[in-house]
Amino acid sequence: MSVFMKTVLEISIGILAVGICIIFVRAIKGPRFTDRIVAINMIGTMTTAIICLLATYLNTVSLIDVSLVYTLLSFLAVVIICHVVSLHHKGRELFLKRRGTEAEEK
Amino acid sequence: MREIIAAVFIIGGLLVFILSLIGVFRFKYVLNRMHAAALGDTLGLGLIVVGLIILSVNFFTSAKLLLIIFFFWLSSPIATHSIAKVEMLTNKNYEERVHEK
Repeated sequence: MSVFMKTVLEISIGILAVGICIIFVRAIKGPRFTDRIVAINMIGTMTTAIICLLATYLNTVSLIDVSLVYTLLSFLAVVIICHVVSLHHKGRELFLKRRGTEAEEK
Repeated sequence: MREIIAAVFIIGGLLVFILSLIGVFRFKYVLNRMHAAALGDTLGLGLIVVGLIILSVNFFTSAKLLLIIFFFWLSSPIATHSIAKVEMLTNKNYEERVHEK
């Protein structure tokens, strides 16, 4: 690999790392929790891109497997968080409705 | 020659990532921000991985990189859909927030 290609890979890894630091600001500031989930999803994407670039830069094939597993785990984390939040919300609405009907009967 | 084409692809992917970063910060509501984030999910990672496929010499390396694109294009719409579903379910006054933007 030539010096030009190594420089391009180094600069792109640096820019993506700075981008992760910037998107953390959105994950901290976000007014609702869905903003935070969107930011975390994007951090997962950028980390996958960084690991792929690093595998080419270090000429290590096994890092690509790490990137594959990271993709699946970040997807699973987002889906499970959304499912748990929606189940909690449905249970809370059911509880409030039941308490309202009990108050009417009394 | 091959390295120049790969560098063009990787820099294009970086530009798409930067655009989606600007979009996440400048949009005002979650359902708009999600659109900007999905841009980096599909096109940004796709361009970077295509550049790395052009750069790689081994067949199995290219196959694994293609598998990453495949999984990401399969999983990113599902994740976005479930985030949007949770937002519609839990936010009571989302209509006025959509209309004021």
